[in-house]
Amino acid sequence: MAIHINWANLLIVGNWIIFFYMIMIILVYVGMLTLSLLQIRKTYQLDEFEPYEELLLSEYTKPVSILVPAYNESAGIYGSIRSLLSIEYPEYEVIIINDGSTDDTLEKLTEKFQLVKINRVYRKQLETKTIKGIYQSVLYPNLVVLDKENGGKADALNAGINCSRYPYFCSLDGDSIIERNAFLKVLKPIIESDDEVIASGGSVRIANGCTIQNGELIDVGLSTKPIVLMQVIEYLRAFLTGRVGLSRNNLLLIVSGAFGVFSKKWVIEAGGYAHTVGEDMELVVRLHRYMKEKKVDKKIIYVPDPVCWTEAPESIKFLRRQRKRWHRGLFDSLWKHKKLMFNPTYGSIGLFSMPYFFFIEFLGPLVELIGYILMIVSVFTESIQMEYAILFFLLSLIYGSIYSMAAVLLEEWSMERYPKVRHFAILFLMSLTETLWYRPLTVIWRVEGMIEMVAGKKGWGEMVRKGVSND
Amino acid sequence: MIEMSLVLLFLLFLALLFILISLFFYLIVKKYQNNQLRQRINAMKDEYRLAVFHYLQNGESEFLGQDLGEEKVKALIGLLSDYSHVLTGPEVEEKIHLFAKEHLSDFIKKELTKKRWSLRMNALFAIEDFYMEHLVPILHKLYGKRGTTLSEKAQILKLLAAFNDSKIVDYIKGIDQELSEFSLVSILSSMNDDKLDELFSCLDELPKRTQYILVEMIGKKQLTEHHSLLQKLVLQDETELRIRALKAYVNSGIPIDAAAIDGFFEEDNWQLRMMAARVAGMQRLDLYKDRLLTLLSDREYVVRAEAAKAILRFKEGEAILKKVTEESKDIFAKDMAVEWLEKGRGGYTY
Repeated sequence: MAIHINWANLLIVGNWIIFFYMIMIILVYVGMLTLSLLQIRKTYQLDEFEPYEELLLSEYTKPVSILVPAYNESAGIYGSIRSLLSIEYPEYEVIIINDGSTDDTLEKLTEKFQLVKINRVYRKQLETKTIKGIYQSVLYPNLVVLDKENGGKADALNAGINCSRYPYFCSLDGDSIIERNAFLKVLKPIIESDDEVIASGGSVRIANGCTIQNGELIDVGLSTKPIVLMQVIEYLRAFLTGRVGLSRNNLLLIVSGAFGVFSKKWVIEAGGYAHTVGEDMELVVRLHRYMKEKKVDKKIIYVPDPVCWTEAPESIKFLRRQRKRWHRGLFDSLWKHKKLMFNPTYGSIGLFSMPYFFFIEFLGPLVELIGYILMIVSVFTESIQMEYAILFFLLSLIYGSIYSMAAVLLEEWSMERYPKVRHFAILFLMSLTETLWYRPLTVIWRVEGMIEMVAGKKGWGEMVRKGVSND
Repeated sequence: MIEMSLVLLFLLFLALLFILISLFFYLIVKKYQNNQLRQRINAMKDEYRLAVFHYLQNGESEFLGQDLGEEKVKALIGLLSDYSHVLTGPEVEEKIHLFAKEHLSDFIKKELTKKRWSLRMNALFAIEDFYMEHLVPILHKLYGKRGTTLSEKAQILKLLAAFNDSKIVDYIKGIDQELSEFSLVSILSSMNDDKLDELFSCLDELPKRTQYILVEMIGKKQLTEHHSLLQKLVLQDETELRIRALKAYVNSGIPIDAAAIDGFFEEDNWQLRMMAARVAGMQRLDLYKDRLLTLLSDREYVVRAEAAKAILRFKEGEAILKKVTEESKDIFAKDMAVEWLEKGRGGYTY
């Protein structure tokens, strides 16, 4: 018997499902935004220096090892390291891990920092590829370079952890510029919690358009390229509206790979970084899992105001690659730890975080894409009136823009990094255009990432770096 | 499709649009105002910078005039705070205190009652920077008030400790156990020796954590008169107190009775072994040279490292480590010796 499909009804049901899904997403986001607004308002206009003065002077401030994995980062590495050598922190070491670069990264470091080979004993607590040599700078005794065989970012970080001497380590991207007091800010909650906080992440901002000299941020500005401006808005939203809310309830599953501090002891116990596309997120999920399984009460948090500036892709090609990779990374982490999903043993991580990241962050783009398609089909088949379609479209545009502007407001309440009124006007105008081009593009890229994942494509996808700092 | 009134949707759209536009104008106007305010305050700071400096030198404060608006007060707070971080000495401190007492008290008091946490904290920091001891009664009230957050309480205790307030010892006896060790250290570090002595006299009544930190204070503040207490604690059964006492020995340089640490080199607890190595090195206890050599092959990395470091402190330390590199069969010990020899030569030390 032939099954008669009523396409018109199917379309209506599809539209309803998407409608309710969107309502759910909006409610979750509004909830998180409200939490962020309350939290950030509380610390608005807190003195920039006073709360950290004690930390800077106290011998009880725990030292930190800064790990910078570098693979063919010759262009930006010098500025980055220079910025690290002038941070405000009582005791720290910088360990650059040259992960078998094929360019002149090691030569450049050797020349600029006068490296000499040393015998340094380290504990191989995590398995890594062979370390060929350990170097130390004559100019800066707290600068160490590991030269190792290529093994990927996770392997490089694990090697760095093995060689580090201090109880906390920070993973930093090779081409990031860190603000001078960022470490004090990001470590403050760790130190003041008596080790209850085992990982803490800061904010990442986009450096394109800013003036950076010798690894020092001189002037904050905005790029003139729309694609970069959109990313600025996106980062503000992601960090300020999402993470503050999640962090408050210890639900955070992401500590940005570009800038995060971890307790070495716990990371080693949990097995270090894993070889996966999104090793930063995977580690955080694993830490949460490990804590729950060990039944210890530890926290992973996000601090809004320590800032790390990083270079964003300026071309569609690299941005697309990055987004596809991020989406695959997100899935990898969720899939590896699928046991946690809806599992009450893992508390709020199993019952809220995992479903949130799967149903909203991971499936979101797919549902949105289907929504776009259904909407277009509905208009053509006249199952939805044009007026409704236009109104829905305008509503989503305004909603998106409100959300973006709320993120700008949070920025203003927390960091005030953008100094001019003009900056706000530009960000506002850009946010109005998001629904027209940027949003659909990122949706398509992320769905592409999903498709590639199903097809089993592996690998990194490189980004050609031009370097954010003028040497 | 969806049965929803077009009018309703349109109204929703208008409402959201209104929110968006209001938000945008709020941002723009606020930014503009804040920028202007900052400029004015900075200009005022520049204007008064020299005058405030002269005041701190010779007490001349006529430049202020009668009218102290909020902006002027903020500028003065900024200036005074800058100077309080770079100028020290009882005279300058007294002048800052007098100035703040006369001109800034009302503002600070008002800030302490603000609803927003950050403003209250800023006011507490100002009290510290400007030595505003006359506000102590208000601090007591705040400390006892329900709703005062833990970070405010920590800052208040630090202030009361710095002002040698009579109630501080009682407050510390009943201190909130949620308060971090770091904050406790900071509070106890601010106390003067007499108040600390009061705490030492009732050491056993204090919560354990407070005891640990108090013992560490002996090292940190060089309270050598408490050497007999350290001696007693090292011999006690409680591991954590022993560790803290050893730490105090290391930091204070108080000579230790060498026999007291004899058993620690074989302790199961690696922290005790490490501290024993450190004390033996710091105080160059010849008696334990051989034991340090054994610790070079300890199963814990940090103990091996500490042992190597300790050996190097002896006159013939370099020769001992060299011998290890040549003769030892333990590669861990050898590696550690090589590393510390390299460091000891002064080449690339940490």
